[in-house]
Amino acid sequence: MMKAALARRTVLLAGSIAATILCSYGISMAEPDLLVIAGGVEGSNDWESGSYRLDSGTLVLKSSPATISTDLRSVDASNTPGDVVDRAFPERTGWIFPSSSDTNTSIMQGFDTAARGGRVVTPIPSFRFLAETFGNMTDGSALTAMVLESVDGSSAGARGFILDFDLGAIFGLNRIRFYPRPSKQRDFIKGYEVRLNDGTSDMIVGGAKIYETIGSETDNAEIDVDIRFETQFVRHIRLRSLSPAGFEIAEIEVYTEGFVPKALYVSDIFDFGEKALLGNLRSIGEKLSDVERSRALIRTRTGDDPNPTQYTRRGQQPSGRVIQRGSSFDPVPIDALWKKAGDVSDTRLAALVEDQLDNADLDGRDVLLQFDRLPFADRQAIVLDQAAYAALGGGEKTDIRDDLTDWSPWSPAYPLDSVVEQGQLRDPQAGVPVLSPTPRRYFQFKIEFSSDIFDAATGVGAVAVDVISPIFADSLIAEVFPRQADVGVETDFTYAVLVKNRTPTQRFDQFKVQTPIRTESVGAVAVLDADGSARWEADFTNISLADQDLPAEDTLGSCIDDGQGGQRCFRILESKADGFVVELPGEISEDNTLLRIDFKTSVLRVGTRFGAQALNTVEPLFGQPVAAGNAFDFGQEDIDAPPGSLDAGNLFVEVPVVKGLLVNVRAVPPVLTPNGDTSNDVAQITYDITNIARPTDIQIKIFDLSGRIVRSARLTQSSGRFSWPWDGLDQSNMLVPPGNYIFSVALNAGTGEETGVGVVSVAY
Amino acid sequence: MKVRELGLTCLALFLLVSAAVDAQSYGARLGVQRGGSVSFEPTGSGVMFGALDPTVRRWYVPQELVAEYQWRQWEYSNYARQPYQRYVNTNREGDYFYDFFGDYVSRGWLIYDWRHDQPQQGGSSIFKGDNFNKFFSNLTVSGDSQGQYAYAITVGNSIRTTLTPMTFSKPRFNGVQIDFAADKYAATVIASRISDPREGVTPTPETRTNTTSLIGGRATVQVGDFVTLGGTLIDARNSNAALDMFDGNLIAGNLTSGQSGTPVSAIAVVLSDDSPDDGEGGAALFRHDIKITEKDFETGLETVWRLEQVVRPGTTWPTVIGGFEREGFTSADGEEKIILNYDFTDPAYTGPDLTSIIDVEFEYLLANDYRIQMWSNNQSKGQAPLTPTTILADDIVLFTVERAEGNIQDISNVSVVRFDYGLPTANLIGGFTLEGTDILGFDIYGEWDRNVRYSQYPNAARFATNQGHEISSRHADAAILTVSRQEYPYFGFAELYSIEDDYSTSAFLSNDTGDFNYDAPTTGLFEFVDDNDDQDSQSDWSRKGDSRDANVFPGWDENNDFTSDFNQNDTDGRPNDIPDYDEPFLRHNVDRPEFLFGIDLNNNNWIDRFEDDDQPDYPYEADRKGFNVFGGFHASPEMRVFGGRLDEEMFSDNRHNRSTYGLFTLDKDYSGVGRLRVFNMLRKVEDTIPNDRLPPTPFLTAPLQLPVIDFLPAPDTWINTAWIGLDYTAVQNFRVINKLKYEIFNQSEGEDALGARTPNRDIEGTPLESESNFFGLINKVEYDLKIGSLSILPRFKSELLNQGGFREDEDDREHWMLIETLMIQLPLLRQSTITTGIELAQFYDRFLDEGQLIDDKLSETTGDFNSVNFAFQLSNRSQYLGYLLTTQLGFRVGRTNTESVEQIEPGVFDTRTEGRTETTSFITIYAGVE
Repeated sequence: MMKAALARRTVLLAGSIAATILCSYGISMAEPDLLVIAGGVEGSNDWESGSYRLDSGTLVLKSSPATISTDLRSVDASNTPGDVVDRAFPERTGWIFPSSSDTNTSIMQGFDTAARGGRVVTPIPSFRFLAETFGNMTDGSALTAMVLESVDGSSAGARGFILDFDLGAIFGLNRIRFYPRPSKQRDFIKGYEVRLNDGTSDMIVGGAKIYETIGSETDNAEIDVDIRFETQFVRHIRLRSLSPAGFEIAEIEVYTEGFVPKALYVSDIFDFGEKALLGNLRSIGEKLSDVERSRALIRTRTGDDPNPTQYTRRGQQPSGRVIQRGSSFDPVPIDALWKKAGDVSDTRLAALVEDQLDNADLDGRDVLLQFDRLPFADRQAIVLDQAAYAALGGGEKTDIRDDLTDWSPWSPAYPLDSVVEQGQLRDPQAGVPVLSPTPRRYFQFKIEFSSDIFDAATGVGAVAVDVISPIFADSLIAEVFPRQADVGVETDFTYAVLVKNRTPTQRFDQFKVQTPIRTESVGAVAVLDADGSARWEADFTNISLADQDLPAEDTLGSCIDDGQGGQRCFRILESKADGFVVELPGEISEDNTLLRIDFKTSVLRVGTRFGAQALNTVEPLFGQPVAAGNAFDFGQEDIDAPPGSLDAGNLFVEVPVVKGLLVNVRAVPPVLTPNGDTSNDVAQITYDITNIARPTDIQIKIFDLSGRIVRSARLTQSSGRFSWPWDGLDQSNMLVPPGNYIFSVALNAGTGEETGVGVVSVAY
Repeated sequence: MKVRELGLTCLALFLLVSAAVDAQSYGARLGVQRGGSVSFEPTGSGVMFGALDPTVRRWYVPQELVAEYQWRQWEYSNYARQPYQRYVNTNREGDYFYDFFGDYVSRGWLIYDWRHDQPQQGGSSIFKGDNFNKFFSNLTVSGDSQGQYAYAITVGNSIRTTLTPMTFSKPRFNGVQIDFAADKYAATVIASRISDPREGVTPTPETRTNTTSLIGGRATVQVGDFVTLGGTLIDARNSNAALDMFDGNLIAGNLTSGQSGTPVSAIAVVLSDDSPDDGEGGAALFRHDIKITEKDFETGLETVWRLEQVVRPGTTWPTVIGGFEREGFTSADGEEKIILNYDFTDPAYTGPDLTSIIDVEFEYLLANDYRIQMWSNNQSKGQAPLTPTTILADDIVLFTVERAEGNIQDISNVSVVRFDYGLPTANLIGGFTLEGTDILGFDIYGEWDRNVRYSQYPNAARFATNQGHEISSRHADAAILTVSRQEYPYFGFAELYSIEDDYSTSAFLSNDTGDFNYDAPTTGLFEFVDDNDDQDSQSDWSRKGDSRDANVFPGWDENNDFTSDFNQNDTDGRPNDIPDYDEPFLRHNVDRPEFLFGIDLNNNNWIDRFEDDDQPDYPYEADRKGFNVFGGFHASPEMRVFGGRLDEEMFSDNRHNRSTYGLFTLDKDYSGVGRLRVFNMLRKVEDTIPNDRLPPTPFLTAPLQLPVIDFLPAPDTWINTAWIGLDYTAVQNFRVINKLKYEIFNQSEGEDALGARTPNRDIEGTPLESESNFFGLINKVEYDLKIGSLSILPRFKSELLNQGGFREDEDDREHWMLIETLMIQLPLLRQSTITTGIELAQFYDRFLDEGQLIDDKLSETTGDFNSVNFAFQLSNRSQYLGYLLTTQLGFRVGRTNTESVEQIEPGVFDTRTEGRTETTSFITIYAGVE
């Protein structure tokens, strides 16, 4: 029953695929377990809130508006901060692209809305009285104007008057036009200079923008000034009057070409209703024009509460920090994360805030710690939210920032592998694993669009993520011991996993340990109950895994009835270069159950992490990763921390930083007898590559004693244990004469070439 | 201890030298007579013989003015016969001055005084009297010599000072320079309060408590007849005059009040990708640890805490933001950053109180192409610990601590990196030089320098005593060597250089409160080596006390009049922003700079000697190592043939410039016929090092120019540049001038597996054209016909330019311009000349096709124009009040017809010519001195 409840759902988070795709996947969509969240698939996608479909099943999906902190004092609750994402791109229904320009429409209308963030100011204080009329230049009406003593060209001291336009985002501009009202055509600007700045940090020196002049006329006779120029990226426009005569501007029009170079889409926050395991992320994308000149980078984050933004107010206790103001040193109060007592409805919690958290007599750090350790529900009830923050006085507000306690930071951009063909959108094996921590209840993604040239852009048609629920355990705390080893030396390790689980419906029956190279052997395996008694045990000590991929089974250990008339025992399901999988006799669901696995392997690289995943037979594709922490007390050398506490270092095995990148270079056997008797017909040139994290060139050469190369091979490998078989043949497939031969293994690393040599003998 | 001993020794030597040179010159007029002898020393009041009368009447001792006018206190003042004489202001002859030892110095004026008293608030004072400016124009020179020995003490606001090109070179050094020279020895000492050296007059001494001072020097000794060895040492250090001088460190300096007055409450370490453009292989962090040293100031006991000892169980500290998990490490690739936020006020931190921390050392296991930067609340005053929002803010101040060498991306360089947190207190440069002349026929110059940057951990509790701030340092080296030999007809030259990327000749400057603005180069930095590409008297960048040189055109001012030779009629009084090659009449003589020939070894498509950048003027760019070697021979006295190889790499990135080149030069005068010049340079180039530059200033009042990005036009390229000049002057008063330049960039492209062309790409990834050409041809004919005193000058010029774009999306450039000019000069009377001229010009833009524009129905200018200009001028040259006045009056009328394609009627487009008439009338007077 419980196995059947485990279900994978592909969550098409946003976006659209064309109607043909809908048809192609009509069968998939009909599957009851498939949860689709995308109006596009339904033919009505607009990438906005609520545009998803709820399916039957235990997983309930909700969505709430996106909020991201745009600076330290404000948030943006729209899906498209800056409002330069196009959700109605021609012939791409349901796709999103960076905004492209309508060359016949000025971008100045509405440029100063909150969504776009543009503004116009004058840096000249004596002209700031005109500020309230600046909006007349961009209101789309030629009947209203910004007027600077427009008296038929008479002197108004207008020389040097400057208007600075911040477009709010970078656009590809090619035309600027400005003119007076039709009824005041004599009051056109008599001399002007128009300068541009692209808004990048390269074009700002010492805080001053470097402008490029694209139009200058000291004796202008044109009523309608229309400056056309080669398209260039622009964010700031400076218009300066070069004439003392008064003038007016009814409208300033700015025309653009191509796509905006930067745009941002931020999804709603997805609430899976309970902790869910995230599998692969996939997206559909399309590049227009030069494929190398535009990109759409997807990032994700996951969290435990519904709000990834943290609002803070000035606390009552000193933080320990001080600010020097002149010769005095002012203490800085803590940033309080909770509401004021008067804003908390629960009387118990209100009292807690008043008596403890806002008690000025207590230590600021203790108060913060106390808040952190509140039960989750209590913390959520008093945490400062957007509404409470907005109601604070100006002096009470402190920073708005990302919540890095209950939420992960934004992940790095997903690699290109995450972009799939439309036909693969529902293929759970396509895409790449979600980079944000999992399992988590809340999920959000964003897409950063960027283009280097005007006509290039990348659009996104859909984003999909596999969601598995229920998860296998609330948390799996794991550690490996010992956490120090020598490079390339076979070492006995023990892997311990403490299962923290409050819900018996969450369970697993397989476990995968990731190792840096193929495991030599697995030793004792045991599942211990919370009281320390062994529930199941097995011992694989005498079964070597070094040379086989086939599973090994220990039928001598604990076995249980499988309910079908047979027995189910511990079994090594898989042993590969990246780890091994142990199948357990039964499912583990009980809280505080401990799984111990002894194994033998070598560590070749600094920072080797022994990751692991709990697996379930029903859901073989995705595993629940373990979290590093204190699972078991291994004795004095194991740092004494509370069981179940987290410690990222507990899954790392350190090795000394050695200079050599090639170790254990040898021939096995050292003498080969290529006579076809299947005994020692081949010598394996084996070697361990240590600190190399990406495939690099390896060249193996075999020399005779005169220095002549008799055989060579070129390979591409990274850290690991490798062997290359030599069968005694030379380059022309002729058997070499008996004798001693010297072999070299050369590795071409970033730090230079490194070579290991050895001797192999041929006898026959 | 060694540093302190060295400091004391230096001070003692300085005092000895000071005493030795103390040659006094007493005045003859003054003095105090004591019992018949005259003393000039201040000895205090004595017993006056004449005052020893036992009278009740009070004795008023005659003071100087009284003695001067024979006035006695009790006498009746009657001026009937002897008119009253007004007082003479004693300041007209100055004050009396005594030296350090109490010896009388002089009567006169204090014009300059710089002294440093410690411990004393405001202990650093500089006085520059009004007379320092008025009498001496802010420069005094004192000196002495005897036999072969000579020395000079130069004090000034703008001293041209160079020790070596790698260590100290400024066109305007504001400070003191003491030079010594003997036949085989030479030495220089320089000193300045660089944080506030004072530019103008200081009515009273300008006192400062927190300062940044510079002291340095150089000494050379000649060994044998051919070799000169030299040593250079320069140190710019912070100091706080309120503290005992010897309690700090004489070399590493002291923390100022602003730096150490506030406890460090948070430190952030930011790891990023040192080569973000490639988007991969950035900082790889395997593990991190911290070593916090705490001191109990009562017992003196020091305790060291490691990371696991300062983190509250069940919590995480420091907060780690950013980066992503790879196989066993956290990586920051491209624009990604890993921020480790060590907030000592975080509840998760249980280590020592921040006021008792005296040192924080970080120990990171890092690999790949990392960059380590640090921040603390003492760098950015008042800021909270870093968050992802603040780290991306523009105003954040980060110190770069270390950068990985090269651009390794496979973690093979994994290593433990240790670094301390500290605020900068001193920048030291020391080095040696070797100069050899004709050693086995070779001329040699070699220099090796080490730059050491000191920083100290600020502990507020230690500020009062200034003792024991933990000092840390990081160093970078620079070395250059050039060897040349000439053995006619053969010659050879080799240069080797290596300047590490963090070699720095910049020092942070304190303000009086001891605060620093670490992120404001224009006000917060002092440069040992200035950027002065045009080698004039003003540095090219803006630094404290130095305004930016607005007129930078290196190599374009061969007549040294501080005006670009391509805009010669641009002056401050009468600005002109039209280049001469576009200006009527002048454009016959002046050709566009594109027609010049020169060496471009950094392959940024700009001749090296015309390059302006914003970097210190080291002989070689920083962050480079490599060599260049060439040899050749004179095939004839006028003809040279070169062959050479350049191999250059960057320290901080995996970029290189490898060029193999050959050069041919011929410059031959054929007497009575003309001159032939032929230059050709062929290069095979693999250049991936960008060398951005600043464009030449187009006119004197030009604002800051946009930098020109080197888009790397030659990643794997054959380049040939040919230039031929032929001047024909065989016929008197008749000249034919011809210039031809042809340059070709031919990209060595590859093929992919399917045989398709894989184009080379520029730095932004844009495909480069397989071939880019520049073709330029100028033909000029001039004739000077003399008929009596009348001169008739017909002139003709043809300029043909065809330039293909380097990038596939870049437009070509092609035009042909014809200019016909006729000028007539008629002398009038004795000192007057009438000049009149007419110029016809036709410009054909051969890239924009008007037919195509019409077909495409595009309203656009076609680029074509023609113009006619007529000018008349009366010029008079007269002597007036010792000046040669040149008075000119006249007018110019010009009409320019510009062609464009426009919509004539709905849907119908055609060419249209629009004319514009310009007139200028003028009367101008120049006062000449020659």
